[in-house]
Amino acid sequence: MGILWEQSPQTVREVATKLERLDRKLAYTTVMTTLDRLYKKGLLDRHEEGLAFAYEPALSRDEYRRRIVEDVVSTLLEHSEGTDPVLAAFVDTAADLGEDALKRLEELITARRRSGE
Amino acid sequence: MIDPTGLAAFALVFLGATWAFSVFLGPGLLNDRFRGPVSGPLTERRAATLALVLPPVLALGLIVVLVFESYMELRSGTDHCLEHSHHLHLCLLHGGDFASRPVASALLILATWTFIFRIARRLADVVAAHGVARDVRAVGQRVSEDALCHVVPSSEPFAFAVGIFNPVVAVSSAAWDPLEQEQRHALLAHERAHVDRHDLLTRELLWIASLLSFPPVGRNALSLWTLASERLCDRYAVNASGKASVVAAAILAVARMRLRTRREAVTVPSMALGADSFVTERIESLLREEPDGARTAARLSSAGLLGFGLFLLCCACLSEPLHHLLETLLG
Repeated sequence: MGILWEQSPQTVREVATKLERLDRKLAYTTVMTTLDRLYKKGLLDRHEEGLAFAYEPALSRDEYRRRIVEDVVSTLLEHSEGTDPVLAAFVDTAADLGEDALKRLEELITARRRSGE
Repeated sequence: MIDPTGLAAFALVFLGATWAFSVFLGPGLLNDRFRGPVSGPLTERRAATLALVLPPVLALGLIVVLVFESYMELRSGTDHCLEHSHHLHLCLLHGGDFASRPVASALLILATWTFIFRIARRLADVVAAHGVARDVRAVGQRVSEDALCHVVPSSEPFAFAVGIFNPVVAVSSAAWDPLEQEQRHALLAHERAHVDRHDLLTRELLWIASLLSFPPVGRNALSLWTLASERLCDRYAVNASGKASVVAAAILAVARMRLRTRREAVTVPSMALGADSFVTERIESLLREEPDGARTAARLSSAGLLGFGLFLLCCACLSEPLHHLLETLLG
């Protein structure tokens, strides 16, 4: 992804060559399979250039990071045992906390501030 | 000669005794006397911890006394079981007979399987949490005031501490950006307190203890412990920010953001137990300036230790009749 963010679109051959320059020599077929998988996951776009495909990122670097974090956080929360996750959240879900309850709490805080804090 | 299956009888007694102690002690420790505004979060946490830890510890003490007695008999070459053969025996030599009873075997297999299955699932979650901590470090932007805290780009508002052995605090940009500076400071102080107090590790250990407890008591105690821990970390945040109203406002702001996100996308995952009441209770508790409850917590710990010592002493003194009583109960 890093190579394609720096310059795109690029063919499989071009990506493999750049990886080799970075001391990460991989077989052409390995790079092709990886790019194909990233395309199927929606992380890359591609179009035909002669006989080969040229790939380019479907997401910006920030969007990609955001997606990774959201994915892993969702997975963690979904997989957590019952309703007891393996993390300590600052605020858990406000599932049944209605607007009235929020207003009442806000009034309490305002009253506290007015009392001189 | 010790029969390894003889341990089956002791395993059954351990499970039964843990449930019995849990039923007996749970309601006493989780009642209103150790809860609410007068008690303080430290007392509540200690009471919940004792409700989870004491039952298996007492049951283990009982088993140690019984196994020791049986072992000493074996060493001295006596076999009291020959004197009364009207029931099965709770000893290292003949305890395996319990394992030959279908109900006892089924109970043991079910309990062991459930325990292993749930522990394995939990372990997978812990590993996943470790992965989240690693990813947060990789993609998050370190907050200048605290090296452990990272702001990660996300449209979902969340803030949490994650990772048992190498924890990290993750705050999403959606939660971080709208907060005022002093609210951010309060949020970080709260999450940092969880990390400094090793709350994540402690909760995992208590979660394992809750598997052995009578289920309603285990669930209730774990929930109470979590709420008390949140309130305790809120107090740390107040000490760091100087104002209870700032911490309360930060909690309310993030709660509002989550509520808004929930309305927009119904699939937002729930993040913890008893959440709605947690927010209300935490804010009310912050604003009424309750005591921390350190003194009562210390008393509770002393009482727990004293009780455990006395219990062991009683078991050792009454091991013979106790042993026969349990044998009769087991049939």
